[in-house]
Amino acid sequence: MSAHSSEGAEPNLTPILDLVFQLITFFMLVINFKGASMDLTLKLPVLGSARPLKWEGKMEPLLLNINREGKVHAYGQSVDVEQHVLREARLLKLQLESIGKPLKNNELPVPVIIRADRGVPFRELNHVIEVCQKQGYIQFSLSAMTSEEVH
Amino acid sequence: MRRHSRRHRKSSSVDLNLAAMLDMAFQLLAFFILTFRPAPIEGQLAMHLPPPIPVTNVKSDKPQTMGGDGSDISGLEKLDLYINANSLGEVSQIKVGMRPVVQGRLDASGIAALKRHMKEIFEIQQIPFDRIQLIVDDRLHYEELMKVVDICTQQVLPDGQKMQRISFVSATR
Repeated sequence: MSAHSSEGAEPNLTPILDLVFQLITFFMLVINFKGASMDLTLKLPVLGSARPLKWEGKMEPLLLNINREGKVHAYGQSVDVEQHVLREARLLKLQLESIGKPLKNNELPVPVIIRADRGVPFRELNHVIEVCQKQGYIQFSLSAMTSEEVH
Repeated sequence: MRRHSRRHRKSSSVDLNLAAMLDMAFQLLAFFILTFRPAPIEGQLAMHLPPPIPVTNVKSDKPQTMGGDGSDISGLEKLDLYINANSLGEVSQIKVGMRPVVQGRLDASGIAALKRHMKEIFEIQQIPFDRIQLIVDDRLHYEELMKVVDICTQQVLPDGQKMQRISFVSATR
């Protein structure tokens, strides 16, 4: 190729721009914001009968991650479970009051999703459940993998 | 956009500088690729977990009254499952009521025995238990507990609904 011919050559950027925009659209559509609240380092137990939670309520479920040491994580941070659940329950009650939905028997109409590592002792799990029950949560969803992860 | 730029070029020969747009697009693409984490295939076992009844009040062979006011669920029975664990956090024994159903580890045969026994209670005998109370050893690991919970949630009540009313009690209390 001569120097003259390469001098005035301009690459056509339009197809590559099209391609990049298509890739961006793909990643924007599949981005998972809920993943931020999950601790993906946990090894959940495997149960074939576990089904994705069908929650169509307007309020977000309370999601708690319990690691092998029994520490509770929410949104990537270690939290004091009593204070965290108390704060979430208060906020929820305020939200319910503001939309004019009084509590029945002081029961919160929002589920708690517990994602616990498979090695968490019952003592720790039960403590978290009791803390939630004290604040009025009665619907619980215990998380499990539907199939063994392939690495 | 391509058609538009071509038409534009013909009329006034203005060239769009696509390099800057491509730079920005690549930056966006890099962000989405780096933050991309596919959601795990996760499921849940949904349960209705009212606060448990103290074990000292248990008379599982007779109808009981449960709940704060007792009006809506009076006269119904609960089934007690005792789950003992070894030092490794594995199941060492499961008793349904007072009857030992699983001895040793909860392997496939243990799971089958427990399923059979629960089916006998709920479907064949049709005893109107509306709630299962798991009295669990503190050392039991979550994975082992979930196996038992899974069997419990598969039980069908006389009204055709799946069992969801399960409560947990620590065996050490």
